[in-house]
Amino acid sequence: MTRVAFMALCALLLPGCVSVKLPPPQAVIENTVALRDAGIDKVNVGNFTLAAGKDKGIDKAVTARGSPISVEGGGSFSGFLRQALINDLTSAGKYDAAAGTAIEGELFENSLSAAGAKKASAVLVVRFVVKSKGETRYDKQVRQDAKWDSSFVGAIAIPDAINHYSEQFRLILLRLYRDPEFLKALRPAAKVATSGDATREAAPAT
Amino acid sequence: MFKSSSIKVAGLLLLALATSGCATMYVDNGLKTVSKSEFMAPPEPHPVQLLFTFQTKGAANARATKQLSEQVTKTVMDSGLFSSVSTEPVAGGAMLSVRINNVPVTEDAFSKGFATGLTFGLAGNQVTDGYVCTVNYQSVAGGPMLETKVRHAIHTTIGAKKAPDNGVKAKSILEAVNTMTTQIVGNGLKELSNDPRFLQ
Repeated sequence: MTRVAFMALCALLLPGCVSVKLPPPQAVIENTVALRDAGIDKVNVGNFTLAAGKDKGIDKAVTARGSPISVEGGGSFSGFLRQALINDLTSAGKYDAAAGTAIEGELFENSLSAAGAKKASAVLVVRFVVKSKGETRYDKQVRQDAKWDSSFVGAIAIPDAINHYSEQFRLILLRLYRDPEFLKALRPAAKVATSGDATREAAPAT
Repeated sequence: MFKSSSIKVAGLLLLALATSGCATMYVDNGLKTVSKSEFMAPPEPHPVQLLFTFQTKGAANARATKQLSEQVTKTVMDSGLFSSVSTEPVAGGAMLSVRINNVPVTEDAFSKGFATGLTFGLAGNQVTDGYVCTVNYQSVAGGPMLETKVRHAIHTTIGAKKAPDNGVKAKSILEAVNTMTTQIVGNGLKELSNDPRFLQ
């Protein structure tokens, strides 16, 4: 009986190092409507890369209690974010790979903390840049923080962490779409909102 | 990935495997599968853009979304409410969003499953997973957003526990989830089609 109890406890608390691959992100109504109804031009999506000087590991995998989480097909998280942006723009009818204006991104921070028995958290920090004909129209660093209730039981905590973590990619984009300066940079008669290399913090999304 | 979409059920199945219990799933009989004639189809159906998301406790579950997308699309197509269904924008700008959220109903599922496992199934238990389906529809960009909400449930028994009175036994977890999905989306669409604004 003791052995059975021990096995059951192990099964509950140590469900094994399951490797999880995130499938391609799918567009949702909030993101789609935010872009579709914003009066913006069609736009291209340029390079999304890891910011210079950052640990390459943060672009490849995060872990939830020993279970590595990475992107399907061996891609990077910056590439995953790029695909999410393309999917949102496509869903909103605003993506054009031949457009003269493009959105680029740099991943500065990407972390998941799911070790706690009661709380878990994730952070994404991305610099978004909008360029048109060599001119920088938008340049801001956007931060997405999330905290959620976790569990002592790994079989609950790990799937929860995967879901909450992957959702941050959609949420950081929604935060971007709700920035009036970002939308202004994509509108037809956009004037230069930002120039030079100065990177500013985006205002919190409402 | 249904195990991750249904936290309590995953835990119960894990326990059942680890400690020799036996899990059986039942789809709640409060909702029935909607037949095509029950939908109030417009005289001239239009194309629609479909966006589907499966959530677990309010957080998007990408793997379950991927797993169920095809079935949700088929349910929407089979309703006859739309002439075609696409994930990309359509002529006319109609947009349909289907969101299924798996919410906890039985809070102490793990302790129940644990007790069942430790007694080799003699101390049977039952837990219930709840599902809330929210259907949003916009006939044109910028137009009014219609919304319907439908609730459903899957009951799981483990060990020596009699079948629930309010459930229909499923052959497998896959069948239970597929049946629940077809019924909850179908009923959401039926309610949507009964809204007079849908036909305008």
